Amino acid sequence: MTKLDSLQGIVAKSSERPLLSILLFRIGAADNARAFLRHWLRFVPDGRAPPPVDAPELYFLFSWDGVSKLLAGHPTLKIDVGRDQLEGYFTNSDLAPDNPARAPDLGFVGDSAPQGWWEGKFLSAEIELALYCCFADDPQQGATLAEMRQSAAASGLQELTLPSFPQHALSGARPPDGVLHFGFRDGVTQPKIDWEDKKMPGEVDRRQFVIGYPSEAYPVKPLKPGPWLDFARDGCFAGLTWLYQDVARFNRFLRDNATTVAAAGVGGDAQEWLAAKLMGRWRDGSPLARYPTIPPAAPDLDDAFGYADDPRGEKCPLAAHIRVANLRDQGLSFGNQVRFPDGPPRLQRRGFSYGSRLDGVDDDGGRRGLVGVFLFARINEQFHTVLRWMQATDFSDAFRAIPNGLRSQDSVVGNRDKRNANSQAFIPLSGGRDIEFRLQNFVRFQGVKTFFVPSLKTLGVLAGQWS
Amino acid sequence: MTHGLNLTLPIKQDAATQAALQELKDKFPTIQSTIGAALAKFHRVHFARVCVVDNKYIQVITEYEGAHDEYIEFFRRELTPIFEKIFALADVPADVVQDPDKFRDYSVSRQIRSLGTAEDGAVDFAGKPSGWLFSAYNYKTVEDIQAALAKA
Repeated sequence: MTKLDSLQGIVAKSSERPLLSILLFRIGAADNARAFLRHWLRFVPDGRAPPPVDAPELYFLFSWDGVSKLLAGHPTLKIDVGRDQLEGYFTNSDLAPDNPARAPDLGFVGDSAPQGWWEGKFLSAEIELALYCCFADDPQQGATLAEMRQSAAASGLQELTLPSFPQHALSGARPPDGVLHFGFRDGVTQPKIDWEDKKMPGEVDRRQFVIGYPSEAYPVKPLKPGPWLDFARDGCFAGLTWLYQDVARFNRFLRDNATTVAAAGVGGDAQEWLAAKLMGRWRDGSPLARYPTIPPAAPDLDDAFGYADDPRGEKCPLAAHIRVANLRDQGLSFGNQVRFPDGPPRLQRRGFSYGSRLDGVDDDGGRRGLVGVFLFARINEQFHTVLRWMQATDFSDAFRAIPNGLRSQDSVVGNRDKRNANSQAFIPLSGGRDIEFRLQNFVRFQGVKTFFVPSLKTLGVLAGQWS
Repeated sequence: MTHGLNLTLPIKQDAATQAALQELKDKFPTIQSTIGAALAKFHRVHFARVCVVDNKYIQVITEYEGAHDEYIEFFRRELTPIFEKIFALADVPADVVQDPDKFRDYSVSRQIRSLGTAEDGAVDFAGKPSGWLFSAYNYKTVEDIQAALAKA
């Protein structure tokens, strides 16, 4: 069983604070950086206790280089051993998302290529520490960021700033109505985690979300008992994914293809129908799996639905975003059944939206999108796999049912510049008819980095509490 | 893109290892059925074979497609006992097959690049151009070929 009070709170649940910022740093002298951590540790809630109302919530995320710097000289946690014991996709830069050997399969080509990430100001490899900060209001955000920056500078931390944000750091909010830039209500689905190993139906094994309990189905590293397993236990990994959403292009796509939809006789609002077929939900969050033709009168956010009765995608197209990102009861291909004997990979989401809303089809040149923060226990088998599946839908034999289906892509997130990608959206209709559209790039990756999110105990170790 | 796997391991020359090698050869009709059954369901491998060269090297040779990062883990999980037998013939620590990272790193380290340069843009695990691999059917995938055959 995992004790929630051993976790950084963000691993157990989303913060309810409306404003969020992520500060990125390079670490200078280890002693000073440890002192910085010790100073700010008191603002890190655990996974069970409610955070103090009048204070910010802070969470600490580290790259392997950051971990290595902070553990330099540790009596038992030897860096060369840790590099071998922790997952290679964390410790080996050749396996990082921005490595040229990995990036194309993950969709990081063309305008999403790593060369353009982080506004060209720094490289992913330079980020060694990230502070995920949650605030109650603007004054708290402003005051805390100023104080943290002063404290960081005095501790030899070099902030890696992003000038396009008013706060000069990834910053945004969770909209009160949950509606993100493409106009859809988000945050409807989060995996229900079986923290106590009760094996209840519908719950996801905790080994998908915390390190330290390896099993045959989940060979989460470290595999062997020892100091590094103790170090990693009750931690997880976080995939920071900064996305630009091209709202004007998305809206133009809906407008330009509405005539085709109307001609097919689907009825209702053609643009709304097409938008729902790309996402897999209506704008209000109701799933197409339950409401394939028109949305319900009131939003239906009951998450207990599947696709078993919809093998061809007549209700919810196979490549709709939510069906690719979480295929539910749709079968995996044999190779993936072997890799995931306990069910498909899942991710927890802790992201937020940034930038002003845009309506209509004319771009205003503003920066807007999503700062995704995904949590998981295995980098390659969860985070990278879901990214790859969005770029090539060969993970399920169901895609054989549509033309060139194994090379399809996520209708919203797919990068059409990927080599050999099938950029056609295939939307089956009843009676064996279908409509096809040539998809476009609706999002651009602007920075991706994987971090370790240590347990509270290990956070103390990284802060120099070694005795 | 079609990839060529030319996994080549040096076989230890002591008597016990050579006896284990002989046992592997003797039992291979059964082993090949196990491998073949897995590959038939995988739909990513065109051809596969295991070769022994003068009892000094053992090779696992396949032509396959798909993301290296996913293909390797499938094989580690699905054919664990067989890779344990093969790796035991070389001087490979016993835990390599149990550890996804070690299995990947070892397999990559023992891949022999073919001469020349791939003509379909295939790259190796490090992202470098793969060696030459001739295709008589323009690098069609297993799925493409099977679908075409089903229609024929």
